[in-house]
Amino acid sequence: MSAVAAVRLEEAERETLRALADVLIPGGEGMPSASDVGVAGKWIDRTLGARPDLAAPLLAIVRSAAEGKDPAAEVERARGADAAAFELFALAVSGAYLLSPKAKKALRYPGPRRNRAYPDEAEHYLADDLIEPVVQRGPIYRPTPSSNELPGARLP
Amino acid sequence: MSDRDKKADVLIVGGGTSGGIIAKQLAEDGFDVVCLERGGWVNASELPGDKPEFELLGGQAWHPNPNVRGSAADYPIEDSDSDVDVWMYNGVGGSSVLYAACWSRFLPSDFRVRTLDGVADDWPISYEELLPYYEETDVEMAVSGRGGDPAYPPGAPPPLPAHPINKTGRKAAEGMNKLGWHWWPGPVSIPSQDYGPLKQCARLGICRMGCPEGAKASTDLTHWPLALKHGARLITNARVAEITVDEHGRASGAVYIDRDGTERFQGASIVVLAANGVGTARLLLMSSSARFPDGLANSSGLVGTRLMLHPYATVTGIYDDELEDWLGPAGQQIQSMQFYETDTSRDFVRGCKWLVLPTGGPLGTLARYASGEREDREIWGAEFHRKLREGIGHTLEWSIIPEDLPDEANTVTLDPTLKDSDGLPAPKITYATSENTRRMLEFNTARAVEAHQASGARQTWVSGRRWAAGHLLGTARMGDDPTTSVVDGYGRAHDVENLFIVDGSTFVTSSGVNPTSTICALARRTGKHITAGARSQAVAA
Ligand SMILES: Cc1cc2nc3c(=O)[nH]c(=O)nc-3n(C[C@H](O)[C@H](O)[C@H](O)COP(=O)(O)OP(=O)(O)OC[C@H]3O[C@@H](n4cnc5c(N)ncnc54)[C@H](O)[C@@H]3O)c2cc1C
Repeated sequence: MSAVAAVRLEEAERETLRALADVLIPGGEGMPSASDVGVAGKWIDRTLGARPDLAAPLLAIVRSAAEGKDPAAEVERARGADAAAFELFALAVSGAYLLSPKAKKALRYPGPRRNRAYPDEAEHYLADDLIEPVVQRGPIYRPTPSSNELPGARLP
Repeated sequence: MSDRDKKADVLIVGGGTSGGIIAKQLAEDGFDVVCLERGGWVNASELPGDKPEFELLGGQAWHPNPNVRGSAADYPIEDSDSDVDVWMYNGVGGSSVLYAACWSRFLPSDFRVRTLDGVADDWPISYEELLPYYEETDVEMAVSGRGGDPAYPPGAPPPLPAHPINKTGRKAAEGMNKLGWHWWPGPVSIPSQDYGPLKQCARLGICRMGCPEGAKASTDLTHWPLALKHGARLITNARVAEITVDEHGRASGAVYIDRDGTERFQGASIVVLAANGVGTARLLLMSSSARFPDGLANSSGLVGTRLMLHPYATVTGIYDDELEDWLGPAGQQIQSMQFYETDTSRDFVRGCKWLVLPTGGPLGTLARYASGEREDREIWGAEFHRKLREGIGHTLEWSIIPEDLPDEANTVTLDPTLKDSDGLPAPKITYATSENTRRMLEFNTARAVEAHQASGARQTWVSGRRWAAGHLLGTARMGDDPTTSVVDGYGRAHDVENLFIVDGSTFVTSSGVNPTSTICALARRTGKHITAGARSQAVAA
């Protein structure tokens, strides 16, 4: 379902988005910024393809950002004006950022991938008798009037 | 008369989880079964879990809340007077398409809360009576787990070996061992090996968005193909508007609206409702008539009341260790029954099951920081990278399911104004979390913080309270007394002798565990009862 976004941003809108997105996700400490991974390009298109409902809140904030003004001040203003709308805008930006393989790699986050367990793996995680103390404490369920009806019942 | 309109032996409303269980069994037992299901089949290639956009899609088109999803198969739910959202999936397989497949049975005490704790009501059946059906449905639902859990009485082990508990389960278990608290590898209805039509789990960790691998037991995969093979007819995109009754007050079939918007009738000798704890109450209330002015099967006045939703809490811990916290199944790694039973030294009755699930993707990580009970909730600017790096791969989360007790003030009613796309009344949910449940969550979240500390967490906080669980229970309770219950111990309506209910509405109490194992065992038991009584069953004229 990585459909092409029904709404396409104009070049000027992408320019504004780029600046605003870098306020939310600046670079540093070995992490790329929003513009470093190209949030305002294909990743925002894919995000809006998956989430057409985010297009209106995203565009509202992009279009209301005054040209030439400090992007940080514009983000602050949008956040103060309508926190819920800002959350949707920020979700679109972070969602787009996290689609980029470059960002995922820097975060060392592999994303969902097929990774079937090997046959002894369950026992491996229980090594060193991890479960033994639980077994040793014995039954802990609370008996009811019919609890001794079961064969082999060992009441707590 | 076309084959389509032919009267059936058994009509099932709802092709979901319990509907699938009973349809397969009755079809195998030779009944002519018809099922009317409001949604369609899931196309596995459309499921989001193996796509880079999975979290975005899971937040809307595949959200478990039908009000967010708003797909053609869904009906709107008026939830402004509920402090918990209602989650479900409408389509073949029902909510098992989206469930996390945590497959825990009730404990014996759950059936006897009045006797043991003096609260709510006992069930008309016992754990021991249900045990054979638990074991049969475990086999049908590919349950993987480790036998011998001392929190349960003895019985057959699950049919498949347990999944690895992963690094998260081990880390959590180490803390529980230090404290001397119970834990056990969590049983799941997700196969740890190839099993019938299901593949071995690929541990994508996205079970709650549907499994694109076909590696989770949902009845669209496990039951419906077999039911159809045995001759059952499943009519999709069929929205049932009313259960009809004959002149003797017996159920005679259902009026439904087909995919073209045409109103149709399906007759049957026996009617089984499997539309879930919200859909079944809604349908009974929509089926009022001169004989049943307050809704069908509602002489007790209890239809739609005693709604229980399991508002659950999560407690997050951040660890220095690399935990690979995204690794499935999701699905539970471990569970704990340490605080399940009443302890009279506490300020509440009954208790909670705890479970460790994978923590999902980075958008989920951000949300945990932003909406949790912690001082520093900023996630933008410099905090974006700091929190993601700290959280991703290093998070362990305890989920806590509280037993919410039945309360007649918590209800499903018909909304006077909101309608679905067919013009039928939408259900209205009225639900308040009780003081007992709040105290239970307070106590258990505090213990979970201690469990994290014992496991070596470097930060821990309550990341949510009163989450929706998708556990829709209690709105047509079972019991022996027709004045205080809607159905009997076999799910048969006291007022309508050929009408049965097999979904979560029949629950007398909610227990503190995930309910679907019990829903399925009860559905199978009802089905077997219908088969056994077929000769003497009174049917519609
Ligand atoms: C996200 C999520 C996670 C969950 N995780 C777990 C878990 O880990 N463990 C667990 O035990 N449980 C879990 N649950 C709950 C579990 O999914 C349900 O308890 C179970 O599936 C309910 O089964 P049911 O038969 O009662 O109803 P459903 O499976 O919901 O089936 C009802 C069916 O009836 C149909 N229907 C409704 N009204 C009509 C009508 N008027 N006409 C025709 N058809 C109709 C619906 O379309 C639906 O298919 C989860 C639920 C969700 C949503």
